[in-house]
Amino acid sequence: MLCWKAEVDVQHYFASIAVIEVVGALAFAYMAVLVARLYSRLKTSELLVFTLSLSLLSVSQVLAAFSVLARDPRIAAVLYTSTSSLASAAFMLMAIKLEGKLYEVAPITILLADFAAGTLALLASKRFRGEAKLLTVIIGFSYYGRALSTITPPASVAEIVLLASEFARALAATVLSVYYALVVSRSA
Amino acid sequence: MPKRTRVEILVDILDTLAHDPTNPTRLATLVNMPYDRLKPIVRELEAKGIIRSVRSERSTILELTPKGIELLKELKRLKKVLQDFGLSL
Repeated sequence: MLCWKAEVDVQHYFASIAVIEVVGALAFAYMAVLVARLYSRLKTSELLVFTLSLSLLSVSQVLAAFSVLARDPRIAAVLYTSTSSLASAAFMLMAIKLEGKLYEVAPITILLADFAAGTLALLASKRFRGEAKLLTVIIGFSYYGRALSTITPPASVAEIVLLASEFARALAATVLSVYYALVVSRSA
Repeated sequence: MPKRTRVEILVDILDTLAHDPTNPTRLATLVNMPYDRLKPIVRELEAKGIIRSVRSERSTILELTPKGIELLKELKRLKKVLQDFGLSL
């Protein structure tokens, strides 16, 4: 009886959270539309950035609602992770009021996101085989390279590390997608 | 005194013209801005149909168009949001 009641309470809790998230998403979307309308008349970059931030927060709320409702724990985890990624992008935009301040805020955000992406790519590659494994490992390490470039003190070295990592990542991601797209199209 | 954002400047210009249509030189004084910086903004607002210049015998008077009045209303409606999120008006 107690167990059943606890389950019902948890379901109520999840439903309440989902409703709260959806209300928040709608409110953010409403504000985004109003600010976008203002932007369409004034064309100032501040308003464009603010519209984008509000839109990202709105989508983040929607994903949070789905993460609560998702029955598959993997889907829930993916959606849950997406909420913080989108929110961090939105807050990064809000934190950078002036373009010159970009370099004060961006490194920590990029470092953390790239480090997480690299680690997750390497973890995922453990389950892969063949070209997928090799290329995903390259992608994983290229993300580490990008993260490293944000904390490498001499700017010239950081630039080289960033350019090399980004080239490796772009190449590996393109080869991975094109290769498997061709495999699929040839077997069709 | 912190530097005004572009949105703040625009609100100052529109608000001033809503209460008191005036010539460009006096507008520059009222919105506390050098005339040469105000000139391109006024030109841009005119091109967008937000303000219009009415030529009289002695000078040119700037005034808000209906579109400009609508825009000012929207800006004021969003004032609290823009202020609280750091785009202070």
